Order: sequence, then C-alpha cells, then structure tokens
Amino acid sequence: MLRDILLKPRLRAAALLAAALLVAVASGIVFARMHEPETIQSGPGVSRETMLSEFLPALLGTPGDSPVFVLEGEEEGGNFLLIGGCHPQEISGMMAAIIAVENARVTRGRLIVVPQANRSGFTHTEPLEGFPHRFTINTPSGPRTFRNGMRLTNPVHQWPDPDLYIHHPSGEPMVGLEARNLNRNFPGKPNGRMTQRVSYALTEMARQEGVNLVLDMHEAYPEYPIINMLVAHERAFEVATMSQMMLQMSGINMGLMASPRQLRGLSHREFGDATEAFAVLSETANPLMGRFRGRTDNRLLIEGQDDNYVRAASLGRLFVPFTEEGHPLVRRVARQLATINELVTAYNEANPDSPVIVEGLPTHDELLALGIGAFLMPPVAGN
Amino acid sequence: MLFDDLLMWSYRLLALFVAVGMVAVVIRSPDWRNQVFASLVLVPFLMRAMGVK
Repeated sequence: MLRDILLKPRLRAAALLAAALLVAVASGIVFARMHEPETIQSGPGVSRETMLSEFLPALLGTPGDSPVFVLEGEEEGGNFLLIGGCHPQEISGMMAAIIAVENARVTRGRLIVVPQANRSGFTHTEPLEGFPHRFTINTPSGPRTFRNGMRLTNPVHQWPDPDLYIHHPSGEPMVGLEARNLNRNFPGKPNGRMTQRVSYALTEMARQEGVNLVLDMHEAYPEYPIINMLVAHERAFEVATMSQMMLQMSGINMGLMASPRQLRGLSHREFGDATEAFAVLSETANPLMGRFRGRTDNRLLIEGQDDNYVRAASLGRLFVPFTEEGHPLVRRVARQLATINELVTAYNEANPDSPVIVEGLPTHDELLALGIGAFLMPPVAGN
Repeated sequence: MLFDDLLMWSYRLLALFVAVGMVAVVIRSPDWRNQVFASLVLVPFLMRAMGVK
C-alpha cells in the first residue's frame, strides 16, 4: 500500500495534501493562540480599568486596543503615564508596568499604566529569529506565563508596508516597515492605519487626562549605543538629569541623552511636543535582541547570559559591560523600577504643588533580592 | 478603516489564490518533487489565507 501511495501520483497527492493540512492545522492552532488576549490583573491600588478605545472609539474591537489601568490617590496631584510594551520584545518595560499595576498604591495624584502599548505586537515574534513567544516567571502561587512579542505591529493586522513611510504630521520619510513601529508613529492619526490610531489614542489619553509625566520603557541590544540610558524631551531634561544623578549615586549606571528634535515619531519627542508632559524614555540591555547572541532560547530571555557577548565585551564592541553574569531579566526590571522611583521623586521635587505620590513599588535592591515572582499576583486563567 | 479592511482582504485573497494554485500543482503534477514542494508552500499560504499568520 505504501508502495502504491509513493508510486501513483493521485494517491501521492492525496497523502501530501493530507499531511499539509495536518501541519497547517497543528501550527495554525499555535499561531491562533498567539492572538488570544492576555489577562493582565489589577492590583489593590487600581481604581479603574479601561481600554485605549475609550480615547479613540475606532480602536474598539480591533487588535490594537489595549488595557489601561488607572491608580488614583485620594488627593489631587499630578498625573504620571507609564508605558510598557511599546516594543513588545522589550519585555523589561512590560514587566515593570505589570509590577506597578499589581503592587503600586497612589496616595496623591494618578498613575496611569499601559503595560502592552502595542498589543498587536504581542501576537507574533520576529520572523526567522527563533524567539520564544512565551516565558514563565515562578511566583509563590505557581508559574505565570507572559508574552514575548515583536517590535512591530503584526502584519496580519496592518498590511502592506509602504515602500516609504511618511511620518504624520512632520513628513519625515522613514523605511516602510516603520509604519508598524508604534515608537515612530506618535502623535498618531485618528483615521490613520492601525499603528497610527494606537499612537493617537495614547497621545489623546495624555492630553485628556492632563498627564504631566510620561515614561516609556524600552530595551536595546548590547551593541546599540543608546542603552542603559534616559532620553528626555527638553522640558523634562532637568527632571531627567536629577533622576540620572540619583540613579548613579545608588550604583545604577545610567546615561542621559537629549531627545533629538529632528527625529520624529518617538514618544520622548512627540509626547513632549503634543502635550504639556515631561516626556522621558528609558533603555535597558537585552541580549536576546542582539546580533552576537548564541543559542536563542528561554534561558537567554530570562537569564540574559551569553558567551558570545562576553567575548564581544572583551573586544570592546559593546556599549554596556557584559560579564558571565549577563543582563538577567530581574536586573533589567529592577533598573526600570529604580528609574520610575527616581523620576517620580525628581518630578515631585520640581513640582511640589502637583506631586504624584506612589507607594508599594519594590525598590531595585528588593527586586534583586526577592525576584520578580515575589511581586506578582497569583496566576489566573489566561496567564 | 474601510481601506485597511480592503487591503487585508486583498492580502488574504491573494494568499488563497496561491494556496489553491499549490493544491492544483499537487494534484496535477506527475513529478513527486513538484508535489512535495507545492505541499510545503501550501502550508504557510493556507495560514495566511485564514488570517492566522
């Protein structure tokens, strides 16, 4: 029978089509699961949950809509917008935002958190890179699973890429795939393509909610020059400088860079120009994203250790130190949390009449000592 | 949004067209190499036509 199947074209065709259908269904199930919305839990400090579509109804029901968590103090004060997941493979920002949602309590002012700003980007991974799509953090109540996404909006949600992407409203030309890069689309466009609409919703939220301070949390590969750094709009430069100094004094090496005026579409530029907010972006080091890396697996994603990068550091090819200890996720998240704490402190000192008082966030040293899992709520269905 | 929807459906129809073409090659080709390669190409285009990947 097998000989018949192999030798007779029609039987061979039927067998191959059946095999192709089986592979398509099996892998299709895996890809379809990547589109299921991920559950992000509210901590005790959350006053209100909403979605980005509240600020742009055109996003409602689309893959671009994303949860927004509002933590409000009893006293009025300033408004702080914390963004994670603008680039979904840069996971320390998302994890720091989730820790904020699940632990922070605001006594004065408001903290608005968007843990997965580009939610579409969490439904896929970078083609041909072999990135893991999920990673697990152990908590005292069991393991929790989170998504590791891709820098850009999923092309099944926004297609095709133009040959040349023209930023709105500046007219700056960029390579076509930047049309799906959330951090090149700010301030966005309400009737634009999906990534433009997500950018617009975030900017509109900052406008409507009177946001005074924005921190957009990112990561970069170790051979990239803008790394372990704050990038600040000119209005925010003094506050960012104070934050950097305090981080340095606590032993956390952090650079500082002014937001280039001619580089458009990025959060630190456009939130500062389009709103009254102090706009800052932070970068930590993620070796999974880099070109020198060796085996690409969950171990690299979590532990951040790579022999190739150790060698590259010894040859002076990197912009961050890289030892056998690597850059584990816990250290990167700790840096983001330390940045949040110092930025809020610096902002409050500069704006004593409208502070944002946030309690309950773990410090840098607490997170390193106890681990990420110690500050996560028990797992529920969906994570 | 309508323009984006039109683009997306164009994409999926194009993918479906290629997928159907590959099915035709698998069925009609007497050469086992063409049949194997067409069945390999069929898989991702089927998923693109379904809007999964």
